[in-house]
Amino acid sequence: MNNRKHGTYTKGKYYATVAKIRAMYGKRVTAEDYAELVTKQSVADIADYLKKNTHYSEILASVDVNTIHRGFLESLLQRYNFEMYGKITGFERIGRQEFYNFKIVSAEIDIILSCMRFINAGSEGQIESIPIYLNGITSFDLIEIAKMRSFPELLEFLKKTRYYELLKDIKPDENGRVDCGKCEYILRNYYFEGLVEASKHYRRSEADKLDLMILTDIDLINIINAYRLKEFFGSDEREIFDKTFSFEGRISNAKLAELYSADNGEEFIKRFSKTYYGRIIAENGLDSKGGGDLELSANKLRYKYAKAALRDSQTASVSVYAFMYLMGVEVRNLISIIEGVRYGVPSKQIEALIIV
Amino acid sequence: MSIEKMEFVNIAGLTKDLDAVLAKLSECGCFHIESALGAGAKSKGFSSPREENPYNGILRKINEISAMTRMKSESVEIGEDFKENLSKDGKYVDGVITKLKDVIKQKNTVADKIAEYEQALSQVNHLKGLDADFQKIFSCEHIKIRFGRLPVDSYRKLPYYEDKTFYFEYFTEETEYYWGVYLTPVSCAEEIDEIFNSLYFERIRIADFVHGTSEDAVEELAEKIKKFNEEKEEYESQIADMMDVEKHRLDELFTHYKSRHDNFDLRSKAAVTNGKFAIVGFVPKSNADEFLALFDDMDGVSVVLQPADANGQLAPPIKLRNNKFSQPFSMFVEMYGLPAYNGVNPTMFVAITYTLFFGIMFGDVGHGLVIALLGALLWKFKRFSLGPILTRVGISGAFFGLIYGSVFGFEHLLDPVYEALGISFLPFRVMENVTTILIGGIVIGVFIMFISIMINIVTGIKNKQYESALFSNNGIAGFVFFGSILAGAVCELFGVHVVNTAYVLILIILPLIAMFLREPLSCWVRGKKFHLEGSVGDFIAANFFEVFEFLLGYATNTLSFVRVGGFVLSHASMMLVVMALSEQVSAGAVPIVVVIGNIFVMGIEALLVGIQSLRLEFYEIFSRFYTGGGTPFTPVKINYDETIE
Repeated sequence: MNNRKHGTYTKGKYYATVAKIRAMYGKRVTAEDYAELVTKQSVADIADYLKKNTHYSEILASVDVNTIHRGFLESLLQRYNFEMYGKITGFERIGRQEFYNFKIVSAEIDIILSCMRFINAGSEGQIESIPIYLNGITSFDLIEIAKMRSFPELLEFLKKTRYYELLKDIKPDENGRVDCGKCEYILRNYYFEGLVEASKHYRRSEADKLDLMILTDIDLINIINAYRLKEFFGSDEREIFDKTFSFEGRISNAKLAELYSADNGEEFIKRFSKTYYGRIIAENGLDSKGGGDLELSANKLRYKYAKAALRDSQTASVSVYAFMYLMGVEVRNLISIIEGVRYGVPSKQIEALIIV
Repeated sequence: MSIEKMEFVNIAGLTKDLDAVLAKLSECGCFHIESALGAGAKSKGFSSPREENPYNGILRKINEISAMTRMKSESVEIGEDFKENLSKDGKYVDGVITKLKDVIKQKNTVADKIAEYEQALSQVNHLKGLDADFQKIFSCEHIKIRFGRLPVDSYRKLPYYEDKTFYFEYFTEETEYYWGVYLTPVSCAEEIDEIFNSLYFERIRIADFVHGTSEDAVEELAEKIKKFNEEKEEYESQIADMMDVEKHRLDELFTHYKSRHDNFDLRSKAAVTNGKFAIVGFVPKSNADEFLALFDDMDGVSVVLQPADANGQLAPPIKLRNNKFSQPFSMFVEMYGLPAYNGVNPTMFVAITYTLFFGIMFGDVGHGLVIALLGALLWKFKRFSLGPILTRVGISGAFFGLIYGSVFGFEHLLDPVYEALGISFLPFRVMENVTTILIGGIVIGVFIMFISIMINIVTGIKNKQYESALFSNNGIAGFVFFGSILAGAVCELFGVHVVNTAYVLILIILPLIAMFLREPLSCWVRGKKFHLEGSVGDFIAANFFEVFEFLLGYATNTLSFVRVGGFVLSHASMMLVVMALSEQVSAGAVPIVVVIGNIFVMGIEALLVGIQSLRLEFYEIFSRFYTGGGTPFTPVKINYDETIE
């Protein structure tokens, strides 16, 4: 984001964009739709339902739902998500403002990380997962990055991009493998820094609301990551702190230290339930039984915050950020359903994964 | 304009005559049947004759023929030589089905081929531009060729595979796909197929019957489809010829057996015991004599007519008696619920008030006449039940348009006519008389409310419902209270001082007390003792709030009629906007703006005014005197439209 145009965007609140987002949000996939979708017997049935009853009808118009491949359907849903982003940012040309580049930066980071994982695995199937519709929008060529077979090659390829400076000190091990976790931390931290920095260019009240939303997101992402590190890798407090995005959110460092020092995942959940977010989750009935569901509860809370932000927002930046988050969740919900149905997961189990 | 008086009918006879009696009841068209067991026959040892309808089978078969040929069975005049023979007739229908099935099977085979060839044509159409013979392509030994479509996103990824041995060429493109072909050496086919599979390439199989280049194939396929269609038409004409021969006979069978079937179904309403049957129902008093005459030739059958309320377990059905003007408005009454047998038929009242409200609110000569014409056309061509209502209210709108002097929004078009006729008090310009219009709406409303209260008083006294007729807010107490308030206010407004202590005590306070004590007072009038339910405090609190609600109701119901005036103004204002807009555009566009504006205003106003008038009917008028709950009078008849599944 740092190479984008800077400035203070005080002119205009882009009410038309806010109104457009609300209209688009009105067409979202509803709880009733999800309830209907989880009962479907095949990917074709899901595609048929989406084509006939939801806002995805536009992108599925020329698709033969009877023969559609699961992967293709998922890629179309993801592409539609980007098309919505394009429509919104192009509506009053707000896309020129630095802040609105967040979706592209996030996608670029995902692509680089995915490429590293393929390199580590010595696999060549990277091209299949590349969102090729972004080629020309991203700061590097997506066909070329898919051809990278080693980390030095990748670093050389990224030389002219903002990511080179961030990754140049990373060294692969003797097997040519790089620490993906570390790279992810560096890249995501850069993304969040950019977001927080870009939000400062707005009016005070708008910037405050944006900050609150972004920092809450970071808080919850930190908690989810910390829980994973504790539960699955048994990481200690220091290790977790090393991978914590350092932004001042609603949870103080002391409180985080208390959480991170938990003996295990179970203890972590107990301590988390006493934090600000833990209490909010419990008060709103977003908590679910079982340790593995902390991630789901935290994501439900993020979803709830985004919905509230979209409902109350009068400014484009807050609306776009919240809307794109909500739509991202929608696509992930649909992918969960598609994959659940494809692999014969019972509908109750699929339903439990839906955030709505 | 009342409710048709009914007679309770009790028919008894020997079971052997049951079918003949039921046939007569279906034919007469004036008998409303009720379950005899439900009317008390069960207690006298009667039971229901439970048998399977023997005519279901043949009717299902006739229905199957209708479905196969898409020719609906119709009721026809049955020839004199027709003789019922269920088994023989069943075999005849089976024979027709067998003959039809043979031709239909051949037709379906051709239809399947058409579908197959059309699919191939659609595929080959996407490959237009391929200048090579399909058969030659498929006969290549060293190259694999795959036709199909590739998603646009996948096509963009093809440069990634530049080092792989394949060639993709597309011929046509759609929003999401490129239709084309990829070629690869046989040795690489497995790998390339896998790549294209991962790119979601949807392969199509070109049928064996596709020959030549794509252009040739398209031509040949189109020719074949044409030929198959001709073949299909040939089979259809064979079916039509067959039906020309058999249709009348089939319709005769349908008419006869449908009537036997429906009459047999009526047996479930009868009650039987020891070789005897009983049927009960209602017949309109006006048809009683001709109904009795039906059974003159049936010696063993007794038909007894009694007053409508003779059987305490059966409420008489309701048949509204209306004249030509009010008939279409019965739809609104039925929508609300039919009146009770001893109630009042409000159709005429609805017809007059609805026409009046609509006319006042929709006053424009042009708009009114267009709506009237539209209503007439809808009725004539579509039998749309709202049509006759539109005709009546449209004429009313046109009449009030004459008073307002408005023709399609042109407010001065009629001025010369009035001047020539020497009518100085017209037109009554809406926008110059806003206050008069709004007050006028209230005055009309108050007048109608008084009439509604009076109807309630009369029906209440007739049905001995004293609480409602004398002491309720819609009874004499309410009438006196509401009337006195309004009369006092009007008199004081015009400087006539009538309101004094006696006026307030007798005409306002006393009726209020009567409303408050309406339950004990009605018991007193009936000569019964009043039993208090709950404590005295409960009684006072409940009645206090009810009386308070009555008072609020008078105010809100009266003000509700302001909408009549409001919509007069809204109609005029909307046309004013249309006219103002027409002045802003160039001369050539004026007619377009005026026509579109008129259509818009007419559409939206007709809808709004129609709904608002109905709202006034249901909420402000019906609520004062109308109690629904009646069952409609439905004479038994043979239903030739209903099919047996």
